[in-house]
Amino acid sequence: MELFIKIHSNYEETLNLTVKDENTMSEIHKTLDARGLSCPMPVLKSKKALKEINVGQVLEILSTDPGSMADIPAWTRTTGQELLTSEERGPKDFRYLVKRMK
Amino acid sequence: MSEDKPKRMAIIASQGTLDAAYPPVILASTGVAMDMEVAIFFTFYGFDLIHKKRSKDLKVSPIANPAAPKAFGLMPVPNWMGMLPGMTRIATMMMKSWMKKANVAKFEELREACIEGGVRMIACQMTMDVMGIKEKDIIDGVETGGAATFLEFAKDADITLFM
Repeated sequence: MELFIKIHSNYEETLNLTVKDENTMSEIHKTLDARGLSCPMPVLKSKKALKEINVGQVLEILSTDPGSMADIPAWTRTTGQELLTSEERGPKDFRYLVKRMK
Repeated sequence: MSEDKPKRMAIIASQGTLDAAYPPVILASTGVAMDMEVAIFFTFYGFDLIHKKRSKDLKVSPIANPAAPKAFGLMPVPNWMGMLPGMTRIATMMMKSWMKKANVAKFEELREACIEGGVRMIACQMTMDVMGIKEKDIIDGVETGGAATFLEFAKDADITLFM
């Protein structure tokens, strides 16, 4: 059992290490799946998720809300966080990378 | 943005219909997520939004509200028909189904996010006296106060909204 836990935690560690963004090459520490949620939930959940990572770490946000294209940047600007990426991957498929600055 | 002094938003919620219930809690919860200090003053009909029982039964009035959901979908319905029996119930049901379809959060969920996020929820004492509302009728996480309590907070606000 102990061995299993050891292997399992090693496995998770490896998984965490391998999650990297292709373009910015930044390591993603947490992913928030806000798909299906509408305003204002993506911003509210992002704020919550950002509190769960450390300063300097990166949060990935997935959303289907077209309003998030304006709202996530407005939120990061106002709160002084860094928006690394903001991409529209499809008609209702948005992805953001936010680096926690404080 | 200035590190030491957070931005401040003061909201007065004065209406008690389902459609009017959303804007205060959407803006207040988002304000908190944007590191603002927020207070909502619940007064007159807005009191229903923090009333344990009444907030569970908020309605949309189709009367004097031409934009309210109509019973027959796209067919134009004269506004005066809103006074017919059952029209309020139909408009409320239709709005709830729209909101559900668009996956908009429930009012209670957003109100909870406000309280959890530290929004100052102020219940108007005078409204309580006028309407005979007891403290036990109000949801948890709400303080009571009057005009001066709200103004003391609002005098330093960057954003003030009357809803």
